[in-house]
Amino acid sequence: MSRLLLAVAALLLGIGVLTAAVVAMREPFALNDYAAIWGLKARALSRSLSLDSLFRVDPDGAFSHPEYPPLWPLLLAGASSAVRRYDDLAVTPLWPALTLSASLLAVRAARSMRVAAPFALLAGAAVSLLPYWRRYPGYAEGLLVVFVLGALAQMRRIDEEPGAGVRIAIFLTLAAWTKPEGLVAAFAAAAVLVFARRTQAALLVALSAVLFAAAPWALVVSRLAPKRPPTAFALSSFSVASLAGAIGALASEAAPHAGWAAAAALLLALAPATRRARRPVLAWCGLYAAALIGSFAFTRLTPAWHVRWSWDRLAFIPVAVLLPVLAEALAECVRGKSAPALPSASPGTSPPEAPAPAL
Amino acid sequence: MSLSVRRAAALLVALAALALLAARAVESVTPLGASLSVAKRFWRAGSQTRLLNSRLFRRDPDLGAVLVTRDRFLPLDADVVLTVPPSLPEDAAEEMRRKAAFVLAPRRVTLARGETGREGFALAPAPR
Repeated sequence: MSRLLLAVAALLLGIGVLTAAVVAMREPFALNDYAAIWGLKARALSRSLSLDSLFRVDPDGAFSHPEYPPLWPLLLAGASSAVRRYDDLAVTPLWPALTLSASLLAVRAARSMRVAAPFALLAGAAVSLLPYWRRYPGYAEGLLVVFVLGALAQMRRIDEEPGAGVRIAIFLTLAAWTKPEGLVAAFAAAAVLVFARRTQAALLVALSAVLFAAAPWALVVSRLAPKRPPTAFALSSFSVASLAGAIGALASEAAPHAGWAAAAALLLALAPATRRARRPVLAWCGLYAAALIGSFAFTRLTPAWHVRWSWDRLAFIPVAVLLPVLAEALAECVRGKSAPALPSASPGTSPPEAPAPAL
Repeated sequence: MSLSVRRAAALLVALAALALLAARAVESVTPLGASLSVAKRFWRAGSQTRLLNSRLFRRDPDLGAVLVTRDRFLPLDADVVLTVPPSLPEDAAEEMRRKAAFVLAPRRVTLARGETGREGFALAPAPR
């Protein structure tokens, strides 16, 4: 059974990575947000070798989101420097490379949760196939998911290795340099770490993301942008009606995909030990999703339009993080073994001398 | 729930979901021969041909060709004005501007309305 499962998982992983490679090589990235945001900035950086160009191409911030952090365009420009000019030939291989990296990090994350190898490999295969739920080659989610899964793979080591907290902070700081959602990922991780009584690690993660990513980038934007870039969200735009509209739009957009959610819920329902043991990861997914849904209360755009064009990309990250947990749930159901019982993550229910809950 | 039922239900759900995703993955590259042939052409083409053959200019090859030519000759520090007919809808004009901004980056591309001739657009260096 294990060998068969291992073979199936390896086959699925191979299909995921190879098809990602063929799709990326067959279709240059040039479409939608790649042309309007990421590729535009990468071409500008590659040809001018100056951060100024990120703001010059669209000084009014009409379409390129000049306020977005620059790591993905920098990586695209860096990859393209191998051929000394901006060329899709040089940047398209990044897509299968990121797919493979994310898959291997999902395997590593599952293995760190002591999931048996065939099930851990299934988690990796699921991550490699996840883009076929929604496919966006060239967008920044491919890099963001690598950093977030990299952080997840370190979570279980936090009590065993002194460097694990630093590595989590580094991964999530890089995530914050990739997309604004990376900062949300870091804050959600910090909140979960506080809840799990790892205050030092929580501070490290939050401060690192703010001091080494958000603050320096905000400084660069304030120095180089000809005027303050317009953002899609603003505190002054808060409206309960926007939030209600966004939730309604999200419900109608996500309804056709309810089967996926039901399958995940069923797996978790069948695996109570995994549910208990992975409360911090599930809490992170919930917090991250709640923060992003809540942000639509502050949207400056039409909420339904904003949700329609972003919800599936936003959901990609927490779903990828959930996959190693689902692999563990599957392992629990198939092998009939329970994960070790863990103390409650709720500080109010634990005696003062109780050990901190496992991550 | 007995262990065997739990095991069967979990395996069924997980493998069905993975099989569905794998089927979509395979479907995205079939027929494989055609996909590989397109990929081969993509890899063998020059960088400008690659750009012109991209999805960005599938419906607008004339604009792509003009942009690629102008990109070759305009200095990188010169900004550009893209003129489109007054009758062109706002969305279509903005789409043309974004395509121009992508090809001509790091130059700034601004949009103007006016006479354009037969091509339906005109490109000129912005006054300094």
